[in-house]
Amino acid sequence: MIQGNLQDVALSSLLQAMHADSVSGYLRVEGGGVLHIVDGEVVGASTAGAEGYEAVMSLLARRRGSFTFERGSPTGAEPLAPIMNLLLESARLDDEWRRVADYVVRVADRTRVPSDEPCLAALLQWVDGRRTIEEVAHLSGDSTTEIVASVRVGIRGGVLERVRSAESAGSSREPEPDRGFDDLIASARAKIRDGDLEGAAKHLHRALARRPEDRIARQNLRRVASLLSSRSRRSSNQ
Amino acid sequence: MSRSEEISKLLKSLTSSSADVEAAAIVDNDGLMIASALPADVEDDRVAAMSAALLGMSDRIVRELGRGLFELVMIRGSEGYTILVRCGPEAVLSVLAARTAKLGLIFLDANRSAKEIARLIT
Repeated sequence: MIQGNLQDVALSSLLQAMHADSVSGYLRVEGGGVLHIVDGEVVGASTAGAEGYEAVMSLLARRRGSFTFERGSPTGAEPLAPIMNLLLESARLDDEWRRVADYVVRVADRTRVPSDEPCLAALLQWVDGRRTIEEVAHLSGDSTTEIVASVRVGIRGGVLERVRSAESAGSSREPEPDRGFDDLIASARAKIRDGDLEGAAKHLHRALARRPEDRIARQNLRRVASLLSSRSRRSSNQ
Repeated sequence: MSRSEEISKLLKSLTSSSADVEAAAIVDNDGLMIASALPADVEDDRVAAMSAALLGMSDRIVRELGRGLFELVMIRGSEGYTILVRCGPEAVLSVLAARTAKLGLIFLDANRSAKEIARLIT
């Protein structure tokens, strides 16, 4: 058995090593994901919310969490795709997510949603012309892989259109500057020091939308939730 | 390299400097984890909460007894050590070490890392 943490070795590196050695077995990732590997090729995959190719993309997007590999003989003879294709597609999706995460979009024509795009149809309920895609992703709970694909289909098909930042500035909400993950975490901590726990939670949610698996951001959000709960208990006792 | 990546790198370097250092984390005064190098079976919340509690108590003891500013506290259990080192005014470095750890070396490495981390987070 091999075990470790994705912070120390990326899933893509593991898959390449397994492909080179033509090993077979089950690669389990913390949080309920598993890859079935036969002779170094991925023949099956599942996560809590996806199966097959989509699950592979979702697992490859993870940057944290423990993993274990156990030798075995999974069923499934045909690879989902050649290993290098999987890795390249994952890298491309990662790039694409970074590109679209800050887009602000609005619904241009709801009637143009293709019938075979239920994810896009469901996404529209969160699109209001003010939220960024990462905020929409957080609200919808869909994987970044699904969101990227839906946004791409939506924009190409004329269902969605991008809102210029000047237009979104005219909305009821203050436009926020584009913040990186570290900035969001730092500003959340500053808000906690100022006693603005709701603001801190909002920034942490946005940080998690960028890196859903980040262990530090998750701990910080749990801590903020605990502080909010204590505050609420105190005020109800007064 | 971003600041958080630099801090994580320092923590990894600390935990890999000796097999006796089992885990390390940076926790701020409010109990928020800033960075960690914890094994999967060690709970972030537990380490952060205990570190914040220990820091609060240590800070107060040092202040009440006129010992200046809190710098370091060590707790020895039958299975190992918990060491807390101040990293600037906002955070502490929490280190979990094995029972067999050579404390002189651990203190040296922990203090050195704490200084570097303090420089990065202040």
